[in-house]
Amino acid sequence: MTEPARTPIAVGPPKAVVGPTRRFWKLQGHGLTALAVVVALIIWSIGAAVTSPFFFPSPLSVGNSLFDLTLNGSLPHAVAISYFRILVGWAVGCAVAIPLALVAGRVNLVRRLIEPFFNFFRFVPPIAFLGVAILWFGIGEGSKIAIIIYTSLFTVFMNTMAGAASVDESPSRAALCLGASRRQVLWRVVLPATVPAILVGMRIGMGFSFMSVVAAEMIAANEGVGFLIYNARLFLKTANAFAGILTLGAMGLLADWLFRLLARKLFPKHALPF
Amino acid sequence: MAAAAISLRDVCMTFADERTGSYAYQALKDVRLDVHVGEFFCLLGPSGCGKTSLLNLVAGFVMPSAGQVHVNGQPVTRPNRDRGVVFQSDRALFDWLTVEENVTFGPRMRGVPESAWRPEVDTMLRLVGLWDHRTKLPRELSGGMKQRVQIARVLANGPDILLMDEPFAALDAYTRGHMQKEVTRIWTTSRRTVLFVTHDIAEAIWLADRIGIMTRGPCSHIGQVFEVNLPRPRERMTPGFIDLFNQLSEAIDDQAGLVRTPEVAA
Repeated sequence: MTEPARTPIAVGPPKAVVGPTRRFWKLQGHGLTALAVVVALIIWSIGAAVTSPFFFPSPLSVGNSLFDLTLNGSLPHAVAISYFRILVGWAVGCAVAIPLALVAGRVNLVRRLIEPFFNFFRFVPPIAFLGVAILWFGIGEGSKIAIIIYTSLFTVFMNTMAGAASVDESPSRAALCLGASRRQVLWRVVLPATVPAILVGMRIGMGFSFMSVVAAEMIAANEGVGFLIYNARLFLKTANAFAGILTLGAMGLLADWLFRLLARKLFPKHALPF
Repeated sequence: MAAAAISLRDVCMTFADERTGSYAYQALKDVRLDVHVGEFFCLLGPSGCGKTSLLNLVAGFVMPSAGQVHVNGQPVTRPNRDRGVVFQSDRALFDWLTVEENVTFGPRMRGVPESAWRPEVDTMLRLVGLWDHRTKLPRELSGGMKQRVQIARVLANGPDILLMDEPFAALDAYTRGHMQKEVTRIWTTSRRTVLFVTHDIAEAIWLADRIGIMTRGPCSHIGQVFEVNLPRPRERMTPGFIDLFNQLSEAIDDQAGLVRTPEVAA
C-alpha cells in the first residue's frame, strides 16, 4: 500500500483571493452592458413596430442601411471626412490653446489680458460663426476646420489655465530647495503637474468638436456624417439618418478610447482622472 | 562663539488680507532666534501661531516684512539647496515620479552625473527603508512612507540644514512614534542642524536639544527656550521626560493666558 507522498504546502503570502471574484464581477459588468443593449434593442423594435418605418425605423432596417451605406462607400467616406475635420481642427485648437493657457495660468498680467476675451466668446456657440467662417475661409474644408479650432480652443484653454493656475505650490518649493532653477521648476514640475488638467481639457474639447462638426456639416457641407444624416431627411430615408447617428456615437467612442489609450501610454506614471 | 547656523533678528511678518486688501495681519513680531550648528531645535506652539511662516522665512520662500534672516552668516534671499525642507503635506512629492526619481530629483536637476549620486541615493533609500519600494509611485505608498520619501529626497541632496514643518502631523500615533525614532537615528548619524516645527509637546521633547515656545498669534514671537538635558535614545514616561512635559505645557498655557483679545470691537 502506497501512501501518497505528502508534500508540505508552501505557506507564502496570501494569494490574491480577489482574482476570480473580481473577474466574476467584471464579467457580470460586461454582461450587464450586453443585457442593457439587448433590452434597448427590444424596446426600439417594439417602438418601431407600432410606428411607420419613415417615422421610426426598426433596428434591422437601420442595420441594413449601415450595411448598404458601408458597401457603397458613402459611409466610410463620410466618416473619413468628418474624422479628418475633427482631428485637424482639434489638434490645431489644442496646439494654440495649451501654450497660451499655460502662460495665462502662470502670469497674472497675461491672464488679465486674455481671460476676458475667453469669458466673452465662451458664450458664443461655434455655429454662430459659421457664416463668417465661410466668408473668410470659403465653403470648403477651411470653414469647417476653423469652427472646430474655435470649439476646442475654449474648452482646452479654460481647463489648462485652471489647472496651471491651481498647481500646488509645495512641489515647486520643494524643487527650488533641491537646487532646481526657476526654468527647471516650470518645465519639470509645473508642466508635469498640469498634464492631467490639459488631458481632461483635450478630452472634453474633442467631445465638443464632434458636436460642432456635425452642426457645421448639416448647414454648409456636401460631405461628412453630418451631411449624410441631414441629407437622408430629404429623401425620407430615416433609416440612413439613424445609421449616421449610430456611426457618430461609434466614432466618438473609438476616438475617446484611442485618446485615453494614448494618454496612458504617454503618461504612464501620472494619475489620470480617466 | 561660532556663528549660528540660523539667526533671526527682529523679524516681522505681515500678511495683507486677500479679500479686503486693507486689513493686515501681523503674524510675527520681533522674532529673535539662534540655532547652533548641528543642533536639533524644535519650535513648539499652538496651531496658527506662525510656526510655518517662520520656517518659510528661513527656507527663503517668503521675505520678512522687517528684520534679518541669516543662514550660516549669509542673508536669506531665496530657497537654496543648503536648506532642505520636509513639508507637512505629502503633496510636496512629485506624484508623477517614482520614489527613486523623487529622491534623485535634486542631483539630476543640478546636472550631477549618476555615478556621483548613485551610492548616496542607494544609502538613503536603504536608510529610510524604501529600497524595496523605490520603483513605486507616491500614490502607492502609505502616509508614513511618503514622509520618508520626503526625508530621503532632502538628505540625498546633502543640505547643511534640515527644515521640518510638522512632518508627522498627519500620521497615526504608532507611525509617528516610529518616524520620530527614525529621525533621531538619522540625525545622530548625520548631525545636521535641524529646525523642527511641531505642536506636539512629547514629540519636541523626544527629538530636540532645545525647544522654543512660540506665543499665540497675532504678533507671535519666541517666548521661553527650554534645554532638553535628557540622554538619547530617550524614553517616554521617565521622570525627567514628564517633568519637562509639565513645564512645557505650563509655559504654553501661560502664553495662552497672555493672549491679547483680538480686535473684537475695532
